[in-house]
Formats: sequence, C-alpha cells, structure tokens
Amino acid sequence: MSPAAPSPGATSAPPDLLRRSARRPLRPGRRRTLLRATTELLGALAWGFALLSPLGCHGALLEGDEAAEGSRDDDDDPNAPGGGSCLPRIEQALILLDELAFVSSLRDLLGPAAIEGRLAPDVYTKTFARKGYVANTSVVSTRLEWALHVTRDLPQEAAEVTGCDGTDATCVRAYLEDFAHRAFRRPVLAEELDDLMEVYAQGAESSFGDGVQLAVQAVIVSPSFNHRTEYGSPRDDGFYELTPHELASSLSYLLTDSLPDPELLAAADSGALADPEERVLQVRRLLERSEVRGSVEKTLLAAWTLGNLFGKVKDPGLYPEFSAALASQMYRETELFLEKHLWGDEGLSSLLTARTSPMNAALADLVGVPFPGSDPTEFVEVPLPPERIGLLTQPSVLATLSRTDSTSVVARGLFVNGPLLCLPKIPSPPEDAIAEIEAQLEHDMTERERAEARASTSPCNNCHNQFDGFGLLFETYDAIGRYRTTEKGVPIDASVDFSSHATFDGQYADVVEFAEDIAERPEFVQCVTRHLLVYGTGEESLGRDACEVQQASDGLTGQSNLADVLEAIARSPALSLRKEDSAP
Amino acid sequence: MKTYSFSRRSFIGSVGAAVGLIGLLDRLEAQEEGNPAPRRFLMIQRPVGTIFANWWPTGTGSDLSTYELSRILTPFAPLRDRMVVFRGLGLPAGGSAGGGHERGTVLMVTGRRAPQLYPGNGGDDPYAEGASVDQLLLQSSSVLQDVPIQSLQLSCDRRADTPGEVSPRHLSYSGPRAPMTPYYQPLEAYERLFGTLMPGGTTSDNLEALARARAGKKSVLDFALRDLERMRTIAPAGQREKLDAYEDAVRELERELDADPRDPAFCGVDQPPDVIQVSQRVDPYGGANVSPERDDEKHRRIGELHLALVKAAFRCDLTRTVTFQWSPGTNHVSFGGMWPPDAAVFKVHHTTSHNPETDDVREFLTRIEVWYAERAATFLQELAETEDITGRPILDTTLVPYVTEVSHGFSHSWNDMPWLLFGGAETGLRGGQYWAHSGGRPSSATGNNMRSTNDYWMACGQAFGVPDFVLGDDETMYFGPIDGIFA
Repeated sequence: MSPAAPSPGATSAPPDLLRRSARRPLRPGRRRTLLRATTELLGALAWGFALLSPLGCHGALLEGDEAAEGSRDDDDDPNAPGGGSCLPRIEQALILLDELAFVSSLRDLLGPAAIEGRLAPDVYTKTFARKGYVANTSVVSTRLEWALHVTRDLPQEAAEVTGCDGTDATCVRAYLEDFAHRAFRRPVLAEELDDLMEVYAQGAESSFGDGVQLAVQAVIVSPSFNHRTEYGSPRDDGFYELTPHELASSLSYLLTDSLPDPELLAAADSGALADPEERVLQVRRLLERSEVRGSVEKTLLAAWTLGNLFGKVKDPGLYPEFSAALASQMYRETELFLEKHLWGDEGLSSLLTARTSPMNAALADLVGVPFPGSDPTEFVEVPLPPERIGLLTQPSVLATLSRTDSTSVVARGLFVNGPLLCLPKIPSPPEDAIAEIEAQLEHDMTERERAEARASTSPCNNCHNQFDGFGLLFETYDAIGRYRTTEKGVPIDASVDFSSHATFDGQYADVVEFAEDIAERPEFVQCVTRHLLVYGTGEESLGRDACEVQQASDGLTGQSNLADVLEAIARSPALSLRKEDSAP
Repeated sequence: MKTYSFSRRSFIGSVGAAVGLIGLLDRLEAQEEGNPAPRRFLMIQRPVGTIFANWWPTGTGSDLSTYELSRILTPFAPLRDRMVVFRGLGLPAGGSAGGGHERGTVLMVTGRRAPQLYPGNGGDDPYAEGASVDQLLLQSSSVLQDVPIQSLQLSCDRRADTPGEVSPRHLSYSGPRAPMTPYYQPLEAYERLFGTLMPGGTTSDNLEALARARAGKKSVLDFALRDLERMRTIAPAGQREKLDAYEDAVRELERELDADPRDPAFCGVDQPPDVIQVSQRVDPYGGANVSPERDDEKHRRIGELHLALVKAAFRCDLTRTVTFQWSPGTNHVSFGGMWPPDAAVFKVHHTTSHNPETDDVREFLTRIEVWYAERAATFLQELAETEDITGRPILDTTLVPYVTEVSHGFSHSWNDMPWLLFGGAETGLRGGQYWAHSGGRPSSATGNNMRSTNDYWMACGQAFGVPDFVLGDDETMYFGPIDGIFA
C-alpha cells in the first residue's frame, strides 16, 4: 500500500465533535455505520497526523500502521499461507513462562495441594506482553523456592507417587521420563534422562524419597520447563512451521495457562496436531471443560482490564453502598454473564445487546430493578431496565472505569477506544499540556463541560477527540454504575455525534444505541480475536488491523461465539508459522 | 585504599571457634592484606512524598548543625552529622508516561525515560527501561560484590491500585523491563539469606546436614546448566540472550550456596521471623479513605522484621546491596491514631493524600511522615551501634539514600524531592550538610530549574569507588554528579 496524501480534514477534528447531536439518531437499521476504519484509510490518517500534528496521537498510530504494513509490503506469493496476503512476521521465539503459567503448570503436574501455602499469582490480571519477559536472579530464585515448596512432602510420598519401591532404578527412570515428558511438553532425550538419574542418585544416597524429590526439583528449575519455544521446523519457503509439541504448548497456555493435558500431549506425540483440523478438534474438546472456558473468560476480562475493579475504592460519603464485597459481586455478575453469552448460539454480539443479566439482590437494587429471587445472595437472571444493555452498562464495567468520587469520561472513552474496539492507540498526554488544561478546568464543571474544554484546547484535542465522545455516552451512570439523569444539578445529555471523528462514525442518543450498533460491527469481533491471538503468541504489537488478526477473524461475525474465534486462531498461520529469528 | 584493622583473636573470642568460620576468617584476612573494604548500599523508600512546611529545616548556609530541624526531620537529630538534606532536586520525569506514583517510582530508581505503558494495569503503569541504580552500582563496584547474596529486595506491602501493576511495586530492576520482585514475607527473605547457613550453630551434625542440602541444591542447579547447554545448541541466535539471562541467574544462586556456613544466631537472628499474613489484595475498606481496621501495626511489624534481617545480613556480610520499600507509592496502609479529628478513624494513607488539602489532612500526612522517619532513624541508630564481623559499626560503611517517589502527594509534584542521604565515615559522605541547588544547568527532563535526582545518584558512585558513575539515558536526564557531598 502506498501512503495516501495527508487528509487534513481527518486530522484536525473540529471542537464541535462532542456537541450534542442536533437531530435524533436514525433507527438502528438505517443508522448504518460509515466504517472509515479501513486499513487503507488508517494509513492515510497516520500520515496526516505525522505531518500535521507534532504533539498529537501520531506516534501510536504509526506504530499500529507499521504493524499492519510490514507484511503487506511483501510481494504476493500464491504459495504462501493465507493466499499470500499475510506473510509470517512473528519471529521464532523462546518464551519464558510467566508466574501464572509456571504455577498453574506445577498445579497440574503435582496436584492442587502441592501449591497450597504459597502466594499464588492473581488470575485477574494476565500478561499479554510476554516477549520482553526475561529471567533474572529474582525470577529463578522464586522458581527454586517454588520447587522446594511443592516437593516438600515428596520424600514421604515417593513410593505412592512413582509406583516404585525404591530398589528398581528402571522403574524410577520410567517415572522420571514420564514426569519430564509432561513437564517439558515434549519427548525427553536419553541424555536428559541420564542427567536426571544422576540428580536422583545424589539424593538417593540419603533415601529413595530424597532422590525423587531432588530429581523433581531439578525438572521444575530447569529452563526446559520454564520456557516454551516457538522455533518450528524449516519449510521450503524459508518460514518455520511450529512442531506439534510447540503447537500443543501454544494452544494449552492460550486456553488454560497451563501445560497440555494428556490427550493434547498425545496428539502432539502422534504428530496429529500438525493438521489444523486436529487442532480445532482439540480446542473443541478442551472447551468442553468449564475450567478451560473459565480460564479464557478470565483472559478476556483481563484484556478488558476489568480485574482492576479489585483495586477500586469509592468515596464512602457519595457511595455508602460500595464495598469490596459489592465489587466482587459486580465482578461475579460479569463472570456469569460471560459464561452464558461467550459460548452460545447467539454469538458474541449478545455480549453487547443482551437485555437480561444475572444479579443478586444487592446488584438488582443498584441497577433499580425488582429482584425476583427468594435468596438475596443468589444470582438470578433479571430483565434489564430500558436504559441498560449488555456488558457495557454493567456496574463492574462502570465502576472500574470511574474515579473515586466521580465518573471518568477519559477512562471510559479509552476503554472503548482500546480494549473494546482496538482503535488506534492513544499516547500519554505531555506534561505541560496537562498543567495547562488543569488550570482551565473548574471544580464545578460537569464532565461534558470538561470534555468540551479539552476538545477546544490544543494539543489536548488531538487525542481526546478520538475517545472522549465514547466516554460521554456513559455519563448517565455514576461511579458505581447507578443510573442518573443529572450531574451537579444539570440534566445529562449522553448523546454523541461522531461524524467528525477520525476513525469512527455514527450518531447515538445514548450507550444503548451505541452498544446495539457496535455489536454488529466487525471491529468488536476482530478486537476480541486480537486479544486472544496476542495472548497466545505473546506478540503485543499486533493491532486489530494487523493482517494476522484480519486473517484469523475473516469470516467471523457478531453471530460467531468465542469457540469459533478460538478455532479460527487454532487454524491460523499466526499461531503456527514463524519467520526466522533476526539476531540482534 | 582503606583496610581493616582486624584481630583474629578477638573475633574468635566473640563468636567461638567453629569449623565453618574458617573460610570467613580467611576472607577477612585477605581484606586486611589490602583488598578493598566492603561498602553497603541500603535504599529506604517511604511513599507519598512529604508536607514541605514540616519537612524543611530552618536556617541558612550549608552547615546543618546550625539549622533547627523540622518536625519530620527531628527523629534524625542523633544522625545529623551523618546526614545531608537536599533542596532543589527534581525527578527528570519529562518525556515519560504513567501515573504520579507509578512514573515517579520508575524514574526515581532508573533515571531513564519510561515512555511505554504496560497494557492494562490501570493504564498508568510504565515499563522501566533500564536497570535500577542499586543494580548498576552493584555491577560497577567491586566493593559491593563478592558476597553470597548479590542483592536483596524487600517490601512491606504489596497492594497497589490494580492487581497487576508492576512499577509501584518494584525498586530494583536487573535490566530493562526486568523487575526484581521483593520479598514481602520476612520468613521467605530469612530463608533466602540464611537457608544456606546453619540454624543451631556449626556442629558437625549440622554441618553434615547442611553439606547434604547444599549438594542437593547444587545438583538441581547443575541440571539447569546442562539443560541450558542443550537449549543453546538449538536456539536461534537472537534468543540466546534469554538463555544467558537464565544462566547468569542460576550461577548467582550457585554462588549463594558457596557461602560460609555461619550461624544465623551469630549474625543476630537466632529465630526465624514470624509468619505475617501479608495482605494479598486491597483490604476491604468501605470507601475512599477510611478502613474498618488499622494495619499500621502490622506494617510496622513487617518493616521491623525485614530490617532486622538487613542488619543481620550486613553484620555477617551476606549481602551489601539492599532496596527496602515500605509500600507502593499508592500506599494502602491505614493508620490508627493519626487522624486529628478522631484518633479512632483509620484513614488510608494514599487516598487521603488526594482529599482536599485541609489542615487535618496535612497534619495526618505529617504524622505518617514522622512515623516513617522514626522507623528509619531508629534503624540507622541500630546500624551505628552494631558492629559487623570486622568489629566496625555497620553504619560506618553504609550509604543510605532515604527517598520517596513524589514530593507533594496532593499534586504528584516531582519538584523539590524530599530526599536525604545518610552515610558513615568510610563512605566519604560529608554529613552535617544542607545542600541547596544554586544554579548550574538543570537537565531538560527536570522541571522548574531543579537539579536532576540522577545527579544525586551519580554522586553516590563516589562512595563505591565509581566516581564516573552515570545514570540516565542521555545528558537531558542529568547534569553531572552533585559536587561537594563526598570527601
């Protein structure tokens, strides 16, 4: 693609972007969106920003554009994967398991009791940028401490665990081969097994149990256990196809944050996983387990940054009903909601458009609907009032994306722009601009007045015009998600007209109309695909517009569910093909 | 070059002859023969900045002894002649991203621009783009090296504003984006420090058990090294650095196993510390800044247990580089007895700092600053009164930066950072000084004609035989080491 001429109209969005829309929005069916966020135009916009607005959002836009562009510059090759439009750009890599993956793997190797008693990593935030993660003494020392911890009872239990009586070295060797096979997620070399038996022999000088304990510790501290590889085998075209064992690990850590289960490992051992359709079958099989679906649900919640709800505090004077307990109930509502809507026939769009939601009595009260259940602690599916729809108006989302004592147009706007739709990234504001705008913002201004002040102040408006409008749609919900119609005594108008927006179009009376609209847009499903593909590959630089994401989400719509997305990822070359490592 | 005057006889007299101590004695004698004396680096952080009105001492000139110390500095009065007060230091925070406390913490310890944010994590959590000052000093100074534990990271509270935040929770980085996780649980730090040593003393039974335990750990690490060799043969060239990093870590842990078998009791800790229920997530408190329970007492207990380990480790020369963090800058600890209108109201430190700046809030924050100052001053007094294995007061050879990530919590200002520097005679610090920035080119990343905090750190290199120590990505981040604070 060649960069188009700069587009001044798009780069200098006028300050009236956030003005109340003069006319009522069209009916949803006719209010068809003008999707301007095509990759071509994005490139043009990026150039416009780069040339015209030195303090603006251009840096991040270029970053996204670069990511999308690199592959398209390559000549089309009919023999290349994906019809030649998307040559592999993700390089071969050695990936250090993060602490969640490490500890989950220990749990699955040795049983849940083994990891009890040490602070396990949080599952509410997950690491999406794994490629930059490197070992240091602190990391390896922690892994050694875990190894000592999880093997603390092994000397007593060795006979039971290994099925050996301690006199038969062949039996121990067979146990260790099986253990290392599972831990390394690949066949074990004879040489490796010899080394492990040496470790065992050292401990066995004291006792059989000590020997088993030491050998198991050695596996846990080893780099083979602590890393997974994406090296692949060379193909004729110079790219690398991940081995079945590498694919098993990729899929398993994507879906479960842990090592492959026996069936997946067996599919790698037999070579069956080299076939994309076998990968799809394995994904389907794994997704039958609720804990696997739960792990993916947590990944999506983390991508949407909703785990941050657990750190939220609210002003008790303004929000006396808010507590950590209520926050966890809010989160629970969203978890249950995802369980119901991510996997069903109604497709991912139902996440945004569902008109019921599971609530307990406290949440129903907060939302302002009667609670139909008999037990107030029980979560019951409750019809939503007309001002609520789907995920976006759930208290968990609204409270997470608010400040202690007020809503946050900026946080909510950035959420829609980033985690929800994967529109171009927004850089942090320059310090001097913050000081300047803070001087202008008065204490008694409404959120809309503040947004308007940002929209009419350069350089703030360069970026804020891209996302403040999204945030304003949510203004009718306060900092803990209660519905409100006034702010500081002024009636709230949550309508927003995006017709001057750089990368998004539409006019909405409120967030309900907005949710109904974006549920049908490709950006939403592509963005979900992007999050999971990034989680699976550790390649955080992939934007929604990257060809890998476009390719994987090709054919997916709002009617697709999350299993469809994961199956598409399992088939996608982005998961299985790598470019040669470029040595620094 | 300074050497130890050290009497083998008096040392053996003080601890009793024990088999395992021979190696240690040999090392001490080597020092006496002209090898450089050890130095120690102990960064002590406290969160949320200060209240200027109650921080600055009153007086003129550079002689601190003529000043009247402020309320917050009064606890340090006995250490006045080993202390430098700085005025006019600014954090070079320009060109970086992230929240006030988050960015402040990264800039404070790395002095490098941090323009990239972690995805998620509240959207204000910057990556550290370089190693931290403690690790850089350690890498470049021989007088900090050659100890069983290269460096130790301790923190007294894990809670930050979002569960996954990195920047506010770490003071040490081994390199770009490579945080070194602190110990929160004193017992875990104890096991790291003394796990290779000898509870119960160096009896021959114990020595045998220890030898077995060490041999076991060594064979575990040895397997890791063999595995690394094999992995190296198949790794693409660009990935070998990651294996190198793993290998460096394994080798460092191996060296820890070579430590002399000393008795923790001799080092000053005869019992492992209590297990503390370290808070895992934000405690349930009902609102912005009032908690149903106080946790300053637990906070204090964790701090004291950690610091007792630091003293023991210094005493036995197990480590020479320590970063000690009271809490992330977004401190979630709730303090009792501190809220002026009602001592029974337990207010949370950080969130209260963002209340309107009333007299009550200022007084509350001042009291907490005094509380942290008292803890630090008490500990530094202990270091002044405790002898290390050479018979010299620990503080004599210890440089102690006393730092925080913002200056004024209300506004997240990074100007006029309320930092102190303590150091005993051997560090060369010219204590008893009031240093004020009096011109000279400030760095471009520092606002309002402030002298960059990197210049403070660069001066610290002089205590460790690294006069040309540099911190920062380029000259926009620093001017040069502050003159005149080291002899």
